Amino acid sequence: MCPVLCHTMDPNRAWMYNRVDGKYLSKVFVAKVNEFITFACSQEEFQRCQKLKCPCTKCRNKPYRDVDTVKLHLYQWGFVAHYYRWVHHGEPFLEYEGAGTSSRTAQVMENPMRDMVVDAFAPMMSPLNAEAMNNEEQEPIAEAKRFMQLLQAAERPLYEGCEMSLLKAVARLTNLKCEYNLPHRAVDAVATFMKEICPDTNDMAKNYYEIKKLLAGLELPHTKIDVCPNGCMLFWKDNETLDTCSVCNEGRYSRVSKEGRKIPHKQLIYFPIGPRLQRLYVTKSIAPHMTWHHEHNRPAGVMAHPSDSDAWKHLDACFPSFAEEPRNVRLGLCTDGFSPFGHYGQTYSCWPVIVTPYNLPPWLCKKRQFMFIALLIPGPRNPKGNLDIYLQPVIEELSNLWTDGLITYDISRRQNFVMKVALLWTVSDFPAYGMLSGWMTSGKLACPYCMEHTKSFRLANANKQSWFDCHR
Amino acid sequence: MDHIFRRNKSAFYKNREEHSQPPPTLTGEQVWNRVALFPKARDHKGKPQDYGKSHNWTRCSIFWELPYWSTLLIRHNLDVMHIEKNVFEQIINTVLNVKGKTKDDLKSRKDMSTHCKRRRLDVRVVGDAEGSMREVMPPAPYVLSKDQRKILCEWIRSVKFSDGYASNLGRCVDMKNASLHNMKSHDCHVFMQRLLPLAFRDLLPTNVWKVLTELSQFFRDLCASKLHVDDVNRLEKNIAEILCKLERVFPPAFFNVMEHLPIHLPREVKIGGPVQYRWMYDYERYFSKPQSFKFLVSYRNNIIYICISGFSIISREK
Repeated sequence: MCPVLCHTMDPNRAWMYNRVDGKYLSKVFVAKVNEFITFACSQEEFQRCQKLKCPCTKCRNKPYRDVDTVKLHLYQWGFVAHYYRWVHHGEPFLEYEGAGTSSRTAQVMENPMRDMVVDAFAPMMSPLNAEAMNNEEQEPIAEAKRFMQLLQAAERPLYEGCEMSLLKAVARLTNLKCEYNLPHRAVDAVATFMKEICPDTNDMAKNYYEIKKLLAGLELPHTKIDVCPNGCMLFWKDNETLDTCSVCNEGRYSRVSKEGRKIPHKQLIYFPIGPRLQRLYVTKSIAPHMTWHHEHNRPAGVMAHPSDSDAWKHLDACFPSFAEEPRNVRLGLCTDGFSPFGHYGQTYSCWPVIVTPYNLPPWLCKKRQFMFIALLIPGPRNPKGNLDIYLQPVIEELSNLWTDGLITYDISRRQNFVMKVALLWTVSDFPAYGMLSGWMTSGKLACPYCMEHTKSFRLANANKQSWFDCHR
Repeated sequence: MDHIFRRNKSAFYKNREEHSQPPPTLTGEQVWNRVALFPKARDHKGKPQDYGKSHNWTRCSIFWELPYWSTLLIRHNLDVMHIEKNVFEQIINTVLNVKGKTKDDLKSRKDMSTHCKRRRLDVRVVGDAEGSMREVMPPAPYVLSKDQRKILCEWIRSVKFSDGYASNLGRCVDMKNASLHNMKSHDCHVFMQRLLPLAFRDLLPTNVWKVLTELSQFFRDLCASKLHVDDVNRLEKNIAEILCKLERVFPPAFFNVMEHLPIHLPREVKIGGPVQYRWMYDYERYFSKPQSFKFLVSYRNNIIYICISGFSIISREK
């Protein structure tokens, strides 16, 4: 269950705010209030003191009153606003841990970790690849072996009689590491500590290294590509074996390590987009939201999401076959300079390139979890015109995703489909606009819309361009 | 098209009437026709011919390799966040007369006298008692005096926002110089949209205050999370007039490209939808979070953790 959804209204509780039907109390309301009272009376707290917190608009869940008074207050004044979750009457507060009201949790949450592993490997295990599966039985390839190992870890409790599984414990610890930026020595220490706390016969990982081994099947791929120190070319594909840059003749490696490995000057880190998008579709809480843009309806002329916009509709109109499948993904791409070591001392700016799916509803779209780094362009200088060189892997993947697509398993409908991806637009500040579009945003012709029709002129004294009197 | 400003010879560029049409906007196909011939970045050919004269293309961008790129209505977005911030900074630096940053200095006044008809603001040469000559700038209506600045700063210090709405603006106030400093882009956003009309209401002359208020209102409407097409059309019509009114008040040096770009923003909104999906606040916030990003670069070992960040969401949810 997704954490951001906690505040949405439960449709089953809409009756709470439909107290009056015409002139009189509505029958549904009376019946449901009775239900509410019986629910509240069944809780431990009531058994103890025989009184309830009154949730009417006047008392606001503060004073304890007896059952009849509470009923009377509710008939008179109704429920306090936004009290969809009865936290004061024994319902648990919904949190990340996913305890919650309802049937939803009960269905899914038998062993969430096991589900997660199956989720992660769903494309591989899906019916389309049935043949491949048969083969696996004969000769377990490395992939399958890892999968088996993960399944075992998901089933295995941390120690005999423990409710938490090993995989869950380990995943939580890694999550903490990411969240609070723990150094790996701290994780080592915590893991050892946990191992000592647990009873002797436990399987907890000793250190960070073992944790990584346990989680090895779940991570998403990334590749490092060596780059010419001046940024003229990538040592990629055809040029992978070259030792010097074919443009500026600069060497590829800076030195040789003690073990005899060659160490490159610069490395571009590339995180393929496809697997990340696939991961969205195999996650139970996210997959249904990926078609939100198709399902919502908005009155004509109102815009509150990119899917209401002309640009989106125009793309759909031009490529009907692409628009047919609502699960196809539209992406935005953003890039900006970023200095990881602060602004003082040695200046170093790297350029991350980030993509975001616009399929998601407004309350999920552009959340941190859904921004995927696609590229990390190394510094220390601004790539300027060579940005295009670095972008090559991303563009190649995007055009493949557009023409061929990627077979993806959608867990919400339990089907395979071919996911295609379009890049809707780029987002960047004004200098980066120039780098992305190729129209340099400086000088007399800086404005990318007016182009050569601009009426800007140069000021003699200030020695600057001025766009004075261009708007009449 | 037949606005009274178009025939005005004194308020804008001196002795010039305006008869031309707004520049045409090109479709994706037209842009492609122009760009297709230019070399790509991998060719390493340098800047193409006539660069900076008849066009500003440096190369054929790699995005044109995407087969659908030329059909898109909007390929690159102007970032509203940065434009708003830069416009605001220009205004506040000029109005508060911040040394080195104001656009109302001696040079700009000299430029003003060559391009505009505002004789009262022209630089005068005055001889002092010792006989040496000195250039003096007459005070402009859009600049606050030190006392007025103090009143403004006092007021900003006393402003309180509801919780979580904005940062504490009082911290940006420097009472000694009666100026503002270290404003973050979100501070500028809030000041531009909410405080600007109130702040200058009694301090600036009505015509200046009015146009600044209109500009502030423009940005506020533009940044709405839910927009109606009719409203956007209205914005598109208004912004040209607002910029013209600004031109009647401020000197030519004030209008660099950032003051010009707002004129194209309503069109982008009309095509691309609400700005909150196309601006950089979310990304900048992402960059600033150490747990999401910073450690990635500093510790090479941890790179793997960004790679599994998709996984880390999942484990939190379940």
